[in-house]
Amino acid sequence: MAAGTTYDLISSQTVANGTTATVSFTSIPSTYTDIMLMFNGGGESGGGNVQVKVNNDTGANYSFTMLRGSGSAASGDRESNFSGYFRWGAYATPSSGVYSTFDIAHFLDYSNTTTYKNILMRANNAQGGCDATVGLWRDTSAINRLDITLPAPSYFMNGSTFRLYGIASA
Amino acid sequence: MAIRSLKTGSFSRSLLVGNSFYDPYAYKSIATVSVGSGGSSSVEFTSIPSTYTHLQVRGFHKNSAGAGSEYVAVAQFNGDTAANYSYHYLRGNGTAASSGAGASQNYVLAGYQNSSATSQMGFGGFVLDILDYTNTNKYKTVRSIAGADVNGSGIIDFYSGTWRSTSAITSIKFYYTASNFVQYSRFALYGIRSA
Repeated sequence: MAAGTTYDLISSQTVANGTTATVSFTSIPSTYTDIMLMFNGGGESGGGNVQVKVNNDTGANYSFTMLRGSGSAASGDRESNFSGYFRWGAYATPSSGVYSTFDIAHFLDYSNTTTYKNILMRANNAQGGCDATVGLWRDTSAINRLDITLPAPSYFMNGSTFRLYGIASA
Repeated sequence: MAIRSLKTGSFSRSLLVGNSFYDPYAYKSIATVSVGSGGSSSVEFTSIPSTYTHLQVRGFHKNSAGAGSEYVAVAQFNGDTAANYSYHYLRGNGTAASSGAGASQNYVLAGYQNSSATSQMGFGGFVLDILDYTNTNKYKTVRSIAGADVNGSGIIDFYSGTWRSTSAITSIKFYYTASNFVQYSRFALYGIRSA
């Protein structure tokens, strides 16, 4: 981190090969207070929820509470003791690629080794709807890896971008 | 060694040589409070500089009342404890959506939290934006996304709020109405500058 900066782009990736189903950020530095992940793009070849896996943890250590607006109704969803990932919004695969999704996730105090981790997530698609989700990863480890996946048979559209930012505090 | 300003011709020992300090960063950490082992009844940021356009507070917090106790961390500005605040909220509990409002309140809402018997669990998170906080011609508007999940229950909230004052915001106080912040709670204040 350059001296004086508080909001740094740690890494960015753009899908270009048309067959990418998973984008990974590894070796995430622990020098920030929060990290923020942004996804702008979509999926192809079938539907699917964007999944976020933390530290390659495939265990049942995830839970989340979701609020959804579909355009005609508001609803909720919850998963407890969920295995392998957070569900980060349901609109990665719109029926038309014109409507891309913009998702953002805040990983608060991600490097502390005392508490479980709280994640605030938003998913937005003008065609499909919008979601807000709070997630819990039941692990006291610092977060050092994130894997963002579209389940088979889907994969990320070319041009989908993923950006990981670090936010430092005084 | 004195340095000569090409702009004014003056000499100075500073590289600024007569120019104002230039800070190129648009998003800057102002202050952070981490709650220590004894807990705390409130967290307050004071002497907030007026040099930014917006403020953002990123909170990670838990109350001390024990398992199952739910609280919303609330915020007051400039020490104003009178009923000059109002708010609305949109809430998801995992099965349904609900909403509510409060007029003539003593605070705005900042962040939901649900304690757990497990010490590591139950911390709520929020991202609170305080818009145009130095403007002296209009009341102040805030918004927040907040939530906590404790593996079996949880709440995700959106808040909007108004402080009916035209004063520039110079201090912010966070607290629970009937509990304290536990150790490892953390509040980070940022300033956001515009061009």
